Amino acid sequence: MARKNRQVESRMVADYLLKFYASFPRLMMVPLGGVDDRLAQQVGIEKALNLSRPFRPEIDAIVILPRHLLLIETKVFRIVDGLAKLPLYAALVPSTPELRKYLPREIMMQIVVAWSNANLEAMAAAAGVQVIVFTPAWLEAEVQRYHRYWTAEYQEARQKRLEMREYFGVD
Amino acid sequence: MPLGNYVIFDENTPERLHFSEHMARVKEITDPQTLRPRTVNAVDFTVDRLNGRPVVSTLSIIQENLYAQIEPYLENRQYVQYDFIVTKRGSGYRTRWTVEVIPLRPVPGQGR
Repeated sequence: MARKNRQVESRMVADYLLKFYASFPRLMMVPLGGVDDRLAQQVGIEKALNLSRPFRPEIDAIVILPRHLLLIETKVFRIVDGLAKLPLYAALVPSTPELRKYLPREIMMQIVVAWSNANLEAMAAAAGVQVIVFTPAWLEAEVQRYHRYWTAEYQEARQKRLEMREYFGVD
Repeated sequence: MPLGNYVIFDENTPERLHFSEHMARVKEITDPQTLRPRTVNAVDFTVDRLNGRPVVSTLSIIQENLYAQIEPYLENRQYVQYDFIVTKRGSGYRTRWTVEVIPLRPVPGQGR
């Protein structure tokens, strides 16, 4: 299927789970946190889940290990955002109705990234998060593109492209 | 009784699917938001089991967000080794999909 937009991180997490956790049940794009009981009683659980969507953050993946829930965020861009979210997401697991059948289990956390650095490793260690570098071949082009974005050559070419789009009236 | 030729999702209702085949194709749809015809890329999966019951049905995926979660399983038809529990959340352009992947048997030499 040709890609009209880049679901890079969705593909990345699916790839990662298949490669390293193929034997275990796993969930992707899981909403976290509780649904207000009074609201559920008033409008029914289905509607309450819908109404609660803006207040329920979504984690990239959860692997159901025999004694643990492994919470995973994958990040190609804004890596620190992903790292910062994980311990907060962990706090919502006990109140998540979709995960009730898998509890009680201990929580483990991983941030899966295309590249890492010493500062990220230090922050992750302090937060109790494991850093995994995972760069399948198809992701290399995205990583290169991202790194090129900050170079003068790329910015100059981008500026020209934007000017041409404006000149030809392309949205 | 509905014919059930295509899998249709109700919001927040998980459907457990097993795929036996897949095929990429281009198809014409009516965009539900603009009501205009559109040509889209789709991947059609033959569903041979739905919520534990044998069926002959098709799941037609045109959503990038859902496709990205299943795409790695297309290589060598690895999806036959799994059940996929798919839950649609929300509607329209803001639809999100939660996919739970259930191995049907342990995969030797994998996992941590």
